[in-house]
Amino acid sequence: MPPHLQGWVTRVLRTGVVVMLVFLAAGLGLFVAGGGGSFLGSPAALAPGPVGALLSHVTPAGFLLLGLLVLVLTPLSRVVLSVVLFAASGDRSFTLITLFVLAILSATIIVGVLR
Amino acid sequence: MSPLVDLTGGTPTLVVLLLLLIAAVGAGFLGSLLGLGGGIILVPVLVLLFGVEIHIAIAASLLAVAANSCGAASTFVEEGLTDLRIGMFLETSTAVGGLLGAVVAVTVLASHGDVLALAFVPIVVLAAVLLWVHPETGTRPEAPPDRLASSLRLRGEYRSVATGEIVAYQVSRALPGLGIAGVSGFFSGLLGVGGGGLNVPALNAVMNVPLRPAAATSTFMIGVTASAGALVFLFAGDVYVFLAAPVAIGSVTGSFAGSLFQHRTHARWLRTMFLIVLVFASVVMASRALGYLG
Repeated sequence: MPPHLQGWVTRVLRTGVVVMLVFLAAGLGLFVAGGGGSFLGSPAALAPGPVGALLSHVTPAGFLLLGLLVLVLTPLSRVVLSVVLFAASGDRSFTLITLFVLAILSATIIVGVLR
Repeated sequence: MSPLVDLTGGTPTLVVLLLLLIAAVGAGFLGSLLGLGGGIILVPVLVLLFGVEIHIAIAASLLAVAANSCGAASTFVEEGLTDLRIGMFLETSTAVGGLLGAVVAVTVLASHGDVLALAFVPIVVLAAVLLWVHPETGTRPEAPPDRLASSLRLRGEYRSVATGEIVAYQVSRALPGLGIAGVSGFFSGLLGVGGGGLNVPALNAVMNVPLRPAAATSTFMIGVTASAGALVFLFAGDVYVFLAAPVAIGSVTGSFAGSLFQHRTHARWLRTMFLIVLVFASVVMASRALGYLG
């Protein structure tokens, strides 16, 4: 991959980290401002229903879940970007290799949502 | 051993928050310095000092490891230390392994925290032994690249801190490296340990990549492995957001500091620290496992 394209990978990773930090800081700020409590109070089971409920209200746990989702999706975005960059630089074998990694990650999400 | 901190409200919120941040900053700093991701330190700390159940500690650790990787990897990629092609090649097997490991942890071993604690020990000892029996020799131009590495053009270069020169390297033994990366991914997902403990020896001793680009490429790979594992724990409901959030923030902060410091670290010093950390983690987890048995 040409060096100037690597800059995009750096940018995706940095942006993901910054967005994550903003959401997590906001969530923890709200948690402390609201008087705190148990750190083991809110497990986040990822399913459309509970996630929708958590995200539809401005709650500390909602902000934190959003931040953690951004976190797990950041390396995934980096893989998506790599597919595009390898394809753009005409590297067919690495486009396929990267697509395989993307397929594994997508399968994880699809199986998790359907379960 | 009773925990030092009560996470369920007994210890003041701000105190707990501060202690979690400090623990995660320390683990993140060492993790990115050594390319092991921090989880190998974080899981025992959360279990022993914070009294967290091991599944919950592993889930939080995987998120911290992913955060750590994203933070440190962005710097390493920018500096040209990371080899994106070698990293992506190995991610094919670490991602599959990470997924399988996490699935085993949340299904078969869902009620066997003691097995998970015990499983920590061999993986740490194995990583230490792998480093011990293969003293680092920098690049070995005499090691012939195998056919797979040649056909995928698995080679790279980086600027040496010691000499300031551009050092070129060529991957050998690509298939054994891929196999070890898969095993590393499995234990990463199973135990939340990042997997650098096996990735770095696989890249360095087996595949002939010099230690600094090996550590940088491992850090880069770990983000994908840890995210795949973390997703499984998220779907299983083992992620406690108030625990995972400060641990992730601390980890990413520590990783930035670690990646800045790594720039000025010589490989031998890095290796010695790596071994000390591995042995320390192994001893702590071994004593816990023996406590279960005794």
